[in-house]
Amino acid sequence: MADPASNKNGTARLADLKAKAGYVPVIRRNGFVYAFLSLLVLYAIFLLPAKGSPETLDLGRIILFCLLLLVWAILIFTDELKPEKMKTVIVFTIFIIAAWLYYRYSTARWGEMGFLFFNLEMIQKAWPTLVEGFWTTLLLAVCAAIMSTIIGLLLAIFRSFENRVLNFFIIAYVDFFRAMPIIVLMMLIYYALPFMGIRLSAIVSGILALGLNSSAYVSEIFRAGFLSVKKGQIEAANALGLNPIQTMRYVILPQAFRVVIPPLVGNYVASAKDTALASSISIIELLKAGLSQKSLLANPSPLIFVTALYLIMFVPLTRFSGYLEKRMKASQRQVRL
Amino acid sequence: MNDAETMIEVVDLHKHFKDLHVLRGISTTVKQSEVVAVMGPSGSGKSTFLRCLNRLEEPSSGHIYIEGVDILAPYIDINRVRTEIGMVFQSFNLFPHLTAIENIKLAPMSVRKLSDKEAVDRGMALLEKVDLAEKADTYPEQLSGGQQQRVAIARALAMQPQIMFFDEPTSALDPEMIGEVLDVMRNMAKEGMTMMVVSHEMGFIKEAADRILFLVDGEVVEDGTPDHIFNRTTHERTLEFLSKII
Amino acid sequence: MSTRPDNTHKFVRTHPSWSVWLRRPPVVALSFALLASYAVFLLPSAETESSLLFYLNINLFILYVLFCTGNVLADGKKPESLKMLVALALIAIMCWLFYRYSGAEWHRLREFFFNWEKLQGKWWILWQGLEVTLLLAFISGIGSVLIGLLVAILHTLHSPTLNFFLRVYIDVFRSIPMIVIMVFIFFALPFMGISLGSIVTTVLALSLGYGAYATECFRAGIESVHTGQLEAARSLGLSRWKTISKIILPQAFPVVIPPLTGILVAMLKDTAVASIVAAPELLKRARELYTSETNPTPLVAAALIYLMVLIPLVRVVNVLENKLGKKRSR
Ligand SMILES: Nc1ncnc2c1ncn2[C@@H]1O[C@H](COP(=O)(O)OP(=O)(O)O)[C@@H](O)[C@H]1O
Ligand SMILES: [Mg+2]
Repeated sequence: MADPASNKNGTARLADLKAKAGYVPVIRRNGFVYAFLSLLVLYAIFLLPAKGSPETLDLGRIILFCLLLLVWAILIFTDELKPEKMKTVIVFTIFIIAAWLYYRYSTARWGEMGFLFFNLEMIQKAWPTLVEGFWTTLLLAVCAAIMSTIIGLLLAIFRSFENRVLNFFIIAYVDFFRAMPIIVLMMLIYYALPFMGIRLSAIVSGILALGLNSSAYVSEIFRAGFLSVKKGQIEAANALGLNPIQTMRYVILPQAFRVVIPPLVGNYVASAKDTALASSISIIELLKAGLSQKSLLANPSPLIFVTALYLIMFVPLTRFSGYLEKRMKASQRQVRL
Repeated sequence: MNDAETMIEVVDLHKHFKDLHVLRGISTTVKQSEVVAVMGPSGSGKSTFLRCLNRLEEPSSGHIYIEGVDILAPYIDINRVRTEIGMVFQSFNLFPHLTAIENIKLAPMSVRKLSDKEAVDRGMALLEKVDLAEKADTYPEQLSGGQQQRVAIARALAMQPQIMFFDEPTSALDPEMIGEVLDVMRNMAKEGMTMMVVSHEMGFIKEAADRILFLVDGEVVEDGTPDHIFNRTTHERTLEFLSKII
Repeated sequence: MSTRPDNTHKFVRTHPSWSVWLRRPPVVALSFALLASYAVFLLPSAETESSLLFYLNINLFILYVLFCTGNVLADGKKPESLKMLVALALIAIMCWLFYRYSGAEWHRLREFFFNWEKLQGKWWILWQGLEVTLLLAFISGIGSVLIGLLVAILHTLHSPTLNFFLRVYIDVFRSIPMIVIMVFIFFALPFMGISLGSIVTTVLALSLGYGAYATECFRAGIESVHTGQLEAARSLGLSRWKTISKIILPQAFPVVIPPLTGILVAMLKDTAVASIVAAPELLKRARELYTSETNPTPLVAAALIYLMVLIPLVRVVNVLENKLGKKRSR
């Protein structure tokens, strides 16, 4: 490739190519991978500190081991030519090694693990409170959703009138509630307002804070929906002789809905997740129920159960809203490098 | 097998997309400096065929020898093979965040490890060749389709490939721009570049191509000189297709 | 002179639509007269027992107000000055309603909400809290961006096994509320022999949680780069890593920046949750002051500080997103 003007003297370059085609960089060779692995094994046998809680220096040795392991894995994963089976095996190997390291060096009392974590008896004891907490969470989520939809829709409609005075106030409202952390808002409403004579129950405070916060986002979503319908569409509808109601019914709403529904669902899910914050103002919702039972029984089982419950509830919801959003996007390509 | 002569040899190439059998056993050879046109109805697998040859798609089975090297062998560094094969796409695929000259010099600098000066010199020479020297510092979105495609050709040539693939290089162009791109390709053919061109530009093929591969449903139904295919073929599918595009 | 047939009847409105009828000046005037009489005669007095009827009555009034004002504001033909007047009236009515029915004792506002004397010499506590908040946000911000970038790039390797675990990571941390992550790390992990301080807990929770969001955002950015770009790069012989660093990331970044900024701002907001695990950040310090002074002024001050920091950021995010939206629609 030294000679720039060569397309014809292929033979010289052919030899070059042939010489190099079989050349695999050292770090990509299988031998290297296995050598590295045996090095790791040797390290594990001879250099890793003894069982038990590690000292600072030993900690360094453990961390170095982890880093080496990581480098080894990355070398394999970035190689397109390594078979997928090998990569699968390696993922699991790493999990096993991590578990082993944890087992070896953590101070956990292994004998009590079952008692501490998956203690059905404790969960049974906590069950009534947890169920109550679940219903409270649901109540908070639903009420906040309804409240935010009503307020958000009204705000979006009045925003669409393009009145400068009104817009100023609406924008201020939206910015205020988008900038204010929900937990701060809750505490203001629950702890500060009573000093002014506005006494709201914990539940109402929670709903109010969640709903106000969410309404700011909902109004933006609806606004985007209204704006997404192009002027040309309305003109086209007018040109067809549709009256305002028909235009709304057949042209604007169907188009706006397609834009509004996915983020709206996403917002409800986010707002439902935020109900967990209500535990900070002593509402016994799911998280608070788990926490209080944990302290009462001196056993983390309820808390772990609650976390699992959040997972079970929200993984499908998050996935669903993600699916809606994906479907909204026109083209959806997989990237393959 | 005579290495100096044969640039590409394909043996019984198959490609499946899940259940879809797109290439059904293609075998052919391309000699040095040969210009091979690939024709066939839409969806017959022309693009897939070319993309298998530089492994942008992974073939399901078969063998591909580029300059005598089996590029499907496990030890092959496919990036090195690709540097030997320039590819020009229907949609140009210039990198929009880089200027014309930056587009061209990127690969020589980062793959061939040329210095900035060498790469720019080479790039300017190539831009000169495709008649776009004055557009060196322009971003792709400010270039016309024909100009973009010529920059894309220069970009592929900057790696000094042995082989050039063209996948419908003029299909996305307005009629008045097709000529300028074809001119560049014609010159390359004259200079002895080995080329595989998916195209339906009859004039260009008649003049520049040495051979035509006619693909239908992933199979080579005819393989012959332009004269043979255009004037003396008796194959039913070929005739049907030709009657549509003329 | 040609004699054309008279076609006027074809175009005359025979059934005036109700929206036209509603917008005629006398009807508008009447609606506002009704509004005034409703306010004077039907609205309950502030002292009455708050029953369901009470709230229904007020809400009905609000709806009617919105209807009357909306009717004027939505009409393109009404003069601008009238609309301005109506808008001001709407705002005034809303403020008045709140003033009258919220049950607030307004004279206490000064004493309990803006009692700056109570904070004299104690502002440094809040500033310290703010420092901690910003520090937490900064470190976790870096952490989450790094995690997001790493996971997104690992995703492009397209190894099914790896992708499965990456997917699990993303799903888990996007699904569990941030406060639950923190509480779990802080209150449950010690039973497993892993005790982390409140600061480490917060940083870990925020980085992992928002790392999952950042991943999604980077992935969307990477996917927004057209496949043709990858093919062109790969056919030039650029390696996978070169393709990512020279072609994909430069093109993905403009797409990624606005949502990423949004995520980071959301993270800054969520640092307030760390007060639950006793991280000494702004909200926690304010609550301590609130307890020791038995006066909510520190809470109000903290809220104002949050607003001062976050409103400009929220505005920035807004502008960035609008810009992106415009670019997309082009
Ligand atoms: N990535 C892909 N996944 C699934 N099917 C594909 C893919 N690429 C191409 N195909 C299918 O393969 C067939 C041949 O495609 P292509 O090679 O692009 O045809 P041509 O270029 O001749 O028009 C088509 O039916 C197409 O739908
Ligand atoms: Mg094609």
